[in-house]
Amino acid sequence: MLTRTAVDDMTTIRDAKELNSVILSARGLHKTFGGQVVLRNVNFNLRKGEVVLLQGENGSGKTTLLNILTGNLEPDVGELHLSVNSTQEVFRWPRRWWQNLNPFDHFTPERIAWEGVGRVWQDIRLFSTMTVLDNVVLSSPRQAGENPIIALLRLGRVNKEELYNQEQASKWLNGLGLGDRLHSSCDKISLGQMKRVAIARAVQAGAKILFLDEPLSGLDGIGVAEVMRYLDTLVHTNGLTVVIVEHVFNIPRVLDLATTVWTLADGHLTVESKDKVWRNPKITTVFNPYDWLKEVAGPGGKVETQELKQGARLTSAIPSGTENAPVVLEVKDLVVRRGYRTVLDGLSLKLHRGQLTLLEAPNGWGKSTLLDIITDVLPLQSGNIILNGESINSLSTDKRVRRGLGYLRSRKPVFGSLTISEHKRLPEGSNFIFSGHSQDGDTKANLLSGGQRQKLLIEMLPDASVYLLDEPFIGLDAGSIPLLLKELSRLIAEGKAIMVVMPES
Amino acid sequence: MNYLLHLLIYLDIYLIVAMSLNLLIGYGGLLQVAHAAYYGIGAYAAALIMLKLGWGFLPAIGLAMVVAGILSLAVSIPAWRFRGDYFVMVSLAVQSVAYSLLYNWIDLTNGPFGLTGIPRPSIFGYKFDSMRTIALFSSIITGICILGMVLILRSPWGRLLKAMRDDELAARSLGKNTRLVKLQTFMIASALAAVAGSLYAAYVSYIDPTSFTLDESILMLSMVIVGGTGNIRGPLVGAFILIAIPEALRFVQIPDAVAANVRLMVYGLLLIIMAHFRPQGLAGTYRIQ
Amino acid sequence: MQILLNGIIQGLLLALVGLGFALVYNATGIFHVAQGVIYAGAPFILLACIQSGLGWPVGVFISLMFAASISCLYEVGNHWPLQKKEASKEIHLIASLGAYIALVQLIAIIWGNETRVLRSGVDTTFSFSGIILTHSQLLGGAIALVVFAAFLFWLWRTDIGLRLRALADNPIQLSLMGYDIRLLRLAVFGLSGLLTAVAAFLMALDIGFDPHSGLQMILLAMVATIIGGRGSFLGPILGAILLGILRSQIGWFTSARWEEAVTFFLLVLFLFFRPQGIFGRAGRLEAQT
Repeated sequence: MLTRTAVDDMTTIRDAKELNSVILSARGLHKTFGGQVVLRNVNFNLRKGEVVLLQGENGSGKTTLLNILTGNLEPDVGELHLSVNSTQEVFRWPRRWWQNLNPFDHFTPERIAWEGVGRVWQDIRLFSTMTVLDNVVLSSPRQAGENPIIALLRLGRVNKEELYNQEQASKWLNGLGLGDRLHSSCDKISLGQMKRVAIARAVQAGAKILFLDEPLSGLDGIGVAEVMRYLDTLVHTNGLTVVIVEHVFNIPRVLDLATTVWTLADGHLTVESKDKVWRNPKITTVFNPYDWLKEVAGPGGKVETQELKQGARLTSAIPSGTENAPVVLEVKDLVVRRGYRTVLDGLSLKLHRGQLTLLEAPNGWGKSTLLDIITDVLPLQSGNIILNGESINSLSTDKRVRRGLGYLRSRKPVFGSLTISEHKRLPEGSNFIFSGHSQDGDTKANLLSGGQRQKLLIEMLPDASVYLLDEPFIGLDAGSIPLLLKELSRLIAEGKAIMVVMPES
Repeated sequence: MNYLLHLLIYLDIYLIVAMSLNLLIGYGGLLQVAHAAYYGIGAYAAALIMLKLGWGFLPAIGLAMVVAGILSLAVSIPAWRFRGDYFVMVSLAVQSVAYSLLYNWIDLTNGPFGLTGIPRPSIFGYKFDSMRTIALFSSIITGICILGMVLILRSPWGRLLKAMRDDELAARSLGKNTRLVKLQTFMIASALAAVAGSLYAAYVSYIDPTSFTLDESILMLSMVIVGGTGNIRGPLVGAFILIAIPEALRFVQIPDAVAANVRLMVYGLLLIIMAHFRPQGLAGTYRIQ
Repeated sequence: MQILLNGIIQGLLLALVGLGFALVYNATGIFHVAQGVIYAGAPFILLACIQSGLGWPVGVFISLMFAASISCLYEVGNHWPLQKKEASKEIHLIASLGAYIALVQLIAIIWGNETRVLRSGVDTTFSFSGIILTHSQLLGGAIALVVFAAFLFWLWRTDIGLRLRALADNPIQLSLMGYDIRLLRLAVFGLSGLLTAVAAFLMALDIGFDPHSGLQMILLAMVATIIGGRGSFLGPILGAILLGILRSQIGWFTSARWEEAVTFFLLVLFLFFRPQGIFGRAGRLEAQT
């Protein structure tokens, strides 16, 4: 019987042998992307039965680390030791050139999956043309019927195996409460159900270590409880080891189950026990946006909060004198569907002259999608967008920009092959100035660091009546943030409307 | 009556081509334009084996399938690495190389002069010489091919193929070896194309490289895309339309000199229309993403 | 040395087509297979102008304008609507293949399938130190070089050239700065049409032309673009010259049948070992899965 108590250094009462067996360890993982170091000397030992919370800011390298550990990406330097089954597999980088000649020795997702590592994707990725049952049956490993020759010639044997697999999968899904949904197509089940099917699928495929990428994003309270309960069962009844990547908002739910916390910051990974983290929660944002909002509202002004669907929050700083300011940008009844998922369901909001609005929402909510649709980077499916009193639904991006819409996209989309001076030649006049670039004007933008690109992009924002900024503070150094805050406050005072989008804090 | 049998034989040949290409495109999500090359390789291989080695028809088809299957590695290995449209261009290059070899390797293929006197199919001494027996023979072969295809598409392998088409990365993270699946799919499709080619060679008794150009590949692509991808019915519709259009054109009395051009032009237009308005084809279920 | 010069001049003409192809590819990510229609059709227009007594300068001008306009119309009719529907690159490619087939057949229906010539009689030749070059070859090489110099100057020194490079790099960001992407794309297609037509005239002058010569050139242009590297404009030019030299060397030392194989192997070599091409940026390589 497995029991669990919360003690300081993780010596819970379990099978002592199992506790100590390390099933996955990493040594000196290092990864650089285009000049930026994303992972720096990452080391860890993952033991059987652990539940790890992997946390870190957006852009801290969580996804990169996840991709490496699931075989989707190779690090530049480092080692991985896998001992899930009784054999030990070691992968070392940099790889010798002759290692790639052997097609059986490549570092691929399927190879890692064979070693017992499974992954649940942030966007779920169920096979959309198959039923729920088929998604799980498909994952059964070592099916004879997956060899076309056997499928053709040994029909009897294949059918028998298939029947058995279907029974197993049905039992499994029944246990999840999806018994009546076995033959539905995947777009007819709820998001929470989809996530659990995705987990079941990975476990059916033989995963002993499961990496989950933001599994709780987009779920309501019921959905979160279902998923966490399922994971709990898998850990304690089936002996699964779990690593959960999650963003700040959902961390408390995960911490209930977690035993260990990995924190990624600046490329470094820190490993701590859960209790230590619980007692000393880290401040994960560099500045407190609410202080800034209060400052912008000023004496006599106010700060108003509005809760939106699915865990998002809209907070506006309304300086005195702007309470009845005209609406600059309005979004009415916006509905967005990506594939078979409804991302935004009837969203409406208004931005007023001279007011600062902060939109906070969990990852996966659709923040960037919202901004993309307002600016026609993505096409409008249903709803209305009104800029300065006129509907701009039918206008293309450049026309919307010329009517006074400014947009700073996230993920630092500079023109990589153009130099800094060439960047500055492009816009027809801009409002922002960061004094003194450390790089000279002839440097190509793809050699700049993340923060430098961010500054360049901000400087290129055209003159507009409303600015939409998607995570503008990411990657900026501590010195530049107050500068940006000052510039934005100045623009507010001049009567612009600004909406800043951030992940929740 | 003979004319109808002639049409039936062509229908059989195109059915096999359509089903095999649909396996690649509709079920595997592997868009490519080198199918005519494997059709041609099958035709030339079977013809040469029967002419030069004197083998019977069934062994000749068998060997032609093996040759085409092995040569399918030229497209299946690039398919491991390259995304959609890049892969189509690679397949275009493969088609060009194949045609160039058929045309220029005169010692082996007789180049532009082609191969004549290809014998009609004979099995254990029985020769299928009349229109009726040939039509019967080709229909039986086609029936076997279709049956085989249906069986493997309904098997776990077929399901794995569809999963790979829907989301290859997700399939790989479940431990599925999609590279192997691609190899298998191309081998099967190329082998089937070779069967069609062999039937064609044995029926018309004379083949030359001009029947196996890129135009022909695009025609085959049209047939599958217009008819419909992702199910069994689509290729049937596609092959049928391919047979029907020249007949319809003859009806409208297009002069013979431009008939071939008009037919191709119609196909090009159909391809454009389908791409814009109905990527799943007339009778298909899978929209090309 | 003769072979080398032949190869270089072939390469220069190929580079004109390659640049036209790369322009569209860099700006839109589309493989512009239908560019082969412009290549095939432009000399016919020129011939028609000459034959109706308009004289060479006027004829060339009209044909160039025609080529540019058809190219723009093609973008408006085929690719822009698909872009708005967020169609995948495969769908664009299918539509492009369909357009290529349909329009080439149209050319063949109007003017017939045979090869034509732009000038009657034998070309004048120039010889020095044992090397013989025809008038067309010299003219072709010279014009190509002038065009490249002008184009590269325009690309790097003018504002419009800057916008074109920005378009190739990040079209969304460019539109967020208030620039009209539609107009820029039209300009790109128009320019591509012009370059292709120039190359077609020069080749036609040298060896004649027929409706089906386009695809070969496009395939080579595509390989040159991939060798040169995505996002680069100088790269495809150099890649094409390299291709021209290699093909003529192989053609001379072995035989014509292996020239296509060279193209294919070079393509696969680069895609496997250096997918970003010679000048492309190593980054996320979209060619790979």
